[in-house]
Amino acid sequence: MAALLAALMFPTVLAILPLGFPVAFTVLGVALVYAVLGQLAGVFDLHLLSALPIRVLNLMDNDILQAIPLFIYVGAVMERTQMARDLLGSLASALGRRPAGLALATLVVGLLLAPTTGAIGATVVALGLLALPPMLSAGYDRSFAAGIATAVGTLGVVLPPSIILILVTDQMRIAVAAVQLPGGATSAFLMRKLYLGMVGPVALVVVGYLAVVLWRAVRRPDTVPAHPYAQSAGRALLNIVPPLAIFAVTLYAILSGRVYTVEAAGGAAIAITAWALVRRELTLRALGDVVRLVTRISGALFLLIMAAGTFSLVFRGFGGDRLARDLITTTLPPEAAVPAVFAALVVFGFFLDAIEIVFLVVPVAVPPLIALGGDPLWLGVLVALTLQTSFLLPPAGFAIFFMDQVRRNIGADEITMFTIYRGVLPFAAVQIVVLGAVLTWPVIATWLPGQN
Amino acid sequence: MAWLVLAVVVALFAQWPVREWFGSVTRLHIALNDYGQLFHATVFLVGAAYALAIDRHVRLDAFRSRFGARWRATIEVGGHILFVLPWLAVLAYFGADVVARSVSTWETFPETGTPGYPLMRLAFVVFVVLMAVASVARLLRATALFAPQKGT
Repeated sequence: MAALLAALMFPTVLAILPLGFPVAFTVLGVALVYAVLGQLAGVFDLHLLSALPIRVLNLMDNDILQAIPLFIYVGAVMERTQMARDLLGSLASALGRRPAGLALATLVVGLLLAPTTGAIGATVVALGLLALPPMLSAGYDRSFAAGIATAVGTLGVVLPPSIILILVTDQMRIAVAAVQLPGGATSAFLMRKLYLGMVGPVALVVVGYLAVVLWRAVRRPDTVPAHPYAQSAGRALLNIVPPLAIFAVTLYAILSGRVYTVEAAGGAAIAITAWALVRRELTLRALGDVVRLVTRISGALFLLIMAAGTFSLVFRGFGGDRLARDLITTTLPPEAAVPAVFAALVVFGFFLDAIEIVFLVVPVAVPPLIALGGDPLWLGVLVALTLQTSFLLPPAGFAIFFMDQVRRNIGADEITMFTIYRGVLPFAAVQIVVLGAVLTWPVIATWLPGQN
Repeated sequence: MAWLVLAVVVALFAQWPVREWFGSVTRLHIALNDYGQLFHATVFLVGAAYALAIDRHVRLDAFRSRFGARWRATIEVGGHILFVLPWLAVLAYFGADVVARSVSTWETFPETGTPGYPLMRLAFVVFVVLMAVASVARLLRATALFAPQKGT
């Protein structure tokens, strides 16, 4: 009975989500309903729920997650001032004289914006609204324009200092702690190591995206026409260099281990504020907009974490984690366990955004893989890469739905869901190749963190 | 309340220069760390209620836009009564003890001994209360749609 209820919890959430009630409330509500059902059936003790307030209080004390509102703040300042728009405009003027210049500009802006938002949906929408209209009016192939905007929007999952990677670190620590390694040699799962581990795979992904763009520029230049757009070189540099420099310094400070991620995030927030002040864009009113935006986005994000915490508490109460472990470790041959788990992860990516998956699925599915001998760092990298890939996969990838919203928003009726599918395909292919490579050669992920 | 975001930014960043110049065991560094944590928690707790009040929590929108107004209102009402309010009730029921104990002994931050840890517990209380108010407000707003309207 307990096993049946545990097994039904995930499908119930997935069935109710399309009704459109907020995701966080759906997840925590379904968990509560199952807890009551379990109590009635005599296989669940409602007193287990007394751990719920403790979980929220522990979340308040969690200091890894402090960096999240800070990175959201950086993104909010760039979005609410003209900074992101000017950056795209200036990059377009610098690169736009050649075919596919606008697409490259989109890629660079995406690299800067994406890590600062926790939700893939939000990044895809922000980037789509920013980059899709100029590409369409320049006469780009619609499907390619929608494809690159969607794909670049998902880079936020994998590109340090991604908020999602912070969440993965948090959950991997718990997963590692849950597995008693023989000899008791538990090594801490460090955020910096995960960031370093992402460098190799992300480089491959970005090179792949570049190849897709350049291939088009060379073979089909008429579909990505040049877009001459006059702007003085001085003006362009002033728009491009400071945000890029802030991003580069922050990343270097974190990766080199000189400062903690939280402090670097705070530094980036202060630097971006100072630059916005110098640009005379940060009026009191604009700053008010920014802090309100940060407050509500952080609120929504942390509520998702609480919801996932509620869900996993009840799921564990039914013994669901043991069930999943037995399923993974005994019914599958060991060499099939890792691919099977990550295939399941792809399916979840069709329904849920990254935060929910990290908090719902990782604590259940990853400990058995560690117990089977998987390197936690490698598994963490794979989790991030798999999530990003699943968001891009037609027909149901999460990011694709959000691009569909964008095109409705900007009234681009000539773009259909199918147009987006076609545009996303080459980028999804890049993802699958990189994912396969990291699965086959873990050293792509583990080499750099092993160096220092 | 949202302006607290700036306090989070300053407190969490300032840890670095303070540690470099004065060392990590100084009072100032520890206080920045602890109160930065408190501000950070307050921001996301208040933010969760704020997002609910103005209806900005993440939804799966693909199908919802095709439902009629009545259907959508029914889902809202059901969701708040079945999901949101019971969850808040569980937090309040099981959380009351922890909060009361913390406030009555006025405990310090664990590990560091900085005074004022019960403020953290009180932020939790504020969270539950604000969420409940916001949830009831959304609920009433949704039920208003069921009232007979002229011309419909």
